[in-house]
Amino acid sequence: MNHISREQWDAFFDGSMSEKDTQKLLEHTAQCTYCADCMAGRFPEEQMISPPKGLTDEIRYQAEKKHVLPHFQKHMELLAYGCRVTVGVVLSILLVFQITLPSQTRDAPKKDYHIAAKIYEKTEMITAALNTWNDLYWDEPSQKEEK
Amino acid sequence: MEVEKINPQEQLNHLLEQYEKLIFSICYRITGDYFEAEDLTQETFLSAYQSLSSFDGQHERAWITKIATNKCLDYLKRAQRRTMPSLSETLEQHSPPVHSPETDCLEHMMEEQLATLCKSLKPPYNQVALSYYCEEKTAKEIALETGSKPKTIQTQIYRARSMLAKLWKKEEGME
Repeated sequence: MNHISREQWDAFFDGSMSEKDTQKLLEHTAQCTYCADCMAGRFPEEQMISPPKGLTDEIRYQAEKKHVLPHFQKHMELLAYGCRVTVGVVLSILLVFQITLPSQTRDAPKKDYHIAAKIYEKTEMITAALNTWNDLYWDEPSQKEEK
Repeated sequence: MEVEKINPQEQLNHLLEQYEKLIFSICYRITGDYFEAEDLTQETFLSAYQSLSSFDGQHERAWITKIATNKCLDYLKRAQRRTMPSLSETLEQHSPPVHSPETDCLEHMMEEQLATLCKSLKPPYNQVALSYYCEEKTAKEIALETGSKPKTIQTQIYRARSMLAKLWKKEEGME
């Protein structure tokens, strides 16, 4: 397509250009350096509209985020993934050894070392402690009443 | 002035200083919507910022104008898909003429329209919107004046902006 003529620009800026031609003009300008410069030149300084002052700060902020985040995010994601995998592996190893090691060791003392038994033992201890505390707490008022 | 090979942040500052008003005016001329023009201006500069490494530094004004025109065309196509009239109808409906005698006071009219819309919002959004859009204050400046936290003001600006954009579209018959 030929470059946009002065008449075409005039028609575009005074709003008399046909719909179809306006679309063509914009599509051409979006590709053509010469016409894009012509379009920019058609906006005199005194007719330009000022955007809100905060827009400049917002653009700077967004650009900074775009500049910093990709590298930072990649590193952080890699680090977080690495940590998750390490913790998972360590926990699995611990669990496997805790359950299987005593039963597979032939010379180990003949003590029932099953994890379920251990949990049961601990639960019993906690229950007993709670019962003791419960008894003490409920006994006190009754003792006072007796006095 | 062409972009020299300096750091990207400085290049962006230079572009903003030189072309922010121009790009905003182009976007407003094409879309006829103050708030869409604001968004498109931001998109234009962010795209320019991201493609700085591939930009040869030649014809800087044309380069950024082309980016803006592309962004506006994308917006018009999206608007066309939403509302169904042809792209050209959307253009005709949206675009305010620039060089006609009536539009010599375009900015003044737009400011008045903005101020009316800002005042129509509920407190505290009306005051924040007036300060931001009409008195050209930044979020930081408003926060200092009102004694509020900058984040609170930023949130209020976002909410006010969203309400204003809807009101603007309603007034212009774009919805």
